[in-house]
Amino acid sequence: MAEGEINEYLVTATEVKALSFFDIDQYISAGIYQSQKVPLSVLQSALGGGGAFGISDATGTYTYYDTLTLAMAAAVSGEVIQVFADFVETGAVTITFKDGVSINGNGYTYTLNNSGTINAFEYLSSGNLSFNIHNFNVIRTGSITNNTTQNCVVRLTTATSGNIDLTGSTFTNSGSGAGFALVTKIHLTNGRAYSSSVWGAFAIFSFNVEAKLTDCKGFATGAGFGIRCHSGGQIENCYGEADSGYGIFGTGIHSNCTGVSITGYGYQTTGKAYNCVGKSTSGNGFDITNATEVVGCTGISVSGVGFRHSNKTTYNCTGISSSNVGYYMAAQAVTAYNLMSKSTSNRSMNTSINQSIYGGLIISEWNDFAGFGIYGTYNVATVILNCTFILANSSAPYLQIFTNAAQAVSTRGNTYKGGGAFNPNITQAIVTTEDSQGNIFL
Amino acid sequence: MENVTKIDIIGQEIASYNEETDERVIYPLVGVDTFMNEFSDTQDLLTVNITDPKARIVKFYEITESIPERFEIIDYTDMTAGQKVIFDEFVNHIKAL
Repeated sequence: MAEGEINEYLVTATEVKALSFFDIDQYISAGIYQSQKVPLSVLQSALGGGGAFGISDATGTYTYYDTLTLAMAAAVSGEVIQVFADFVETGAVTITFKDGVSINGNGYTYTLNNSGTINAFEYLSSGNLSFNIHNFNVIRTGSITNNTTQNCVVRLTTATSGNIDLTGSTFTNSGSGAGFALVTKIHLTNGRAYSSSVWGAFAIFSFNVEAKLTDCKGFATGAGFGIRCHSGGQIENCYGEADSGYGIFGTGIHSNCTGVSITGYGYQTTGKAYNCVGKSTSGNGFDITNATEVVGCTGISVSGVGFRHSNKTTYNCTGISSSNVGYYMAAQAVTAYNLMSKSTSNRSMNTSINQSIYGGLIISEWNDFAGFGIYGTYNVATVILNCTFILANSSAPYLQIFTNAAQAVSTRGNTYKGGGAFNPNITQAIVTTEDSQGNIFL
Repeated sequence: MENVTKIDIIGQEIASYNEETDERVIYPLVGVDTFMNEFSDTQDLLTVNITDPKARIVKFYEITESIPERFEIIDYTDMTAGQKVIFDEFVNHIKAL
């Protein structure tokens, strides 16, 4: 402690309960002292030459350890390893977690700076794995290999169940690998991870829905991915951010998540997504490729496509773009129910062959003849029912095929506003008439 | 990128896209001083559409949460003869990368 310096300490709950404080007089100036309370653990560590890691017994007395490896070896389930100083490990040392042994980092940082291929922390056994990591910063740096198994900040495999709360903790890979990689049935909550790896700041390599992230945030630099659900799993209320990589990418079940990228896709799902949002400045906002169910999702982009619909069916999804199309039905034979598409300076939508739109709001704010409602890159959608078109240019066609070729389209119940005369090359494909109750077969 | 359809300049990067094949290549923002001196100002993002929906430059300002506060469109047809030359040379430069 320096003269005249009032120190602040993070205090554990155990210390508070045990009143484990000592009054220490701090020298202020000649004849003037100020008393402050110092946690017992800090005092013991300073006077006793203790290590950076400590475990308290039932009386609040700490046993100190020079390394986290030693502390973890000594800890038993129910105990908390307290961290009292920053620590840098340069050896080929991987810390193995224990079920029931938590870590309170007290805001300090553990760094593994090693050029090998090891993970900083891992778990390779079966059984349950539950504990907390609070207020702890972990850094993996110095590595050059980037794959799914090596050089992670944390990699958890083979556990059959468990919950890990990460409140206040960060996991940063400034080397080559992933941040926090989950290969097993663990539920992570409240973590933050950082990486430049395409394998993700947070990564799920498990097929099981029990591999789950809740309220986690992944941040990627360069071409890295914010959150990568490579094989499956679940993510809820999560946030992924990237520079040129994907904000959030992958399969599994996603709900209420947001992915953001600058030049890459904000969000790409190949699984199920509910109420998720993708944003990108230059790339596409939201993309679905081989997705199995997409409901209530929104894609927003400045110069990319807002929502790129590459397969299957979407329900209540929205695409918004400033200079590209809002909603792009890119693959053949896809269907959208209740879509919303808006572009500020382009046509509203692109469609292709044998597609269907059941309900929608289709807006182009571009006051240009090319500010179409729906543009067929090959064909316009073959079924367009109960849609409202709002165009800004009074000459712009509501439906337009790229060659301006003729096409028969099933259109019914649509409202057209602001655009030009209906394209004469688009003819009605519906041949049935409604019955006396207003029903009709298509 | 020979088949480029859209070019974005953002920060110190050039993002080139082939939107038909969904490809993207990132280049550093070097060797395009003439283009930048002519068309760039304080925008957050400068987009070059090569043909689709038309040849043009769109500049976006004050982008927040992927929504720009305002934007400016410079259609190729409205450019001066000198600007058209610079635009064409820039596009050809990117195609040759």
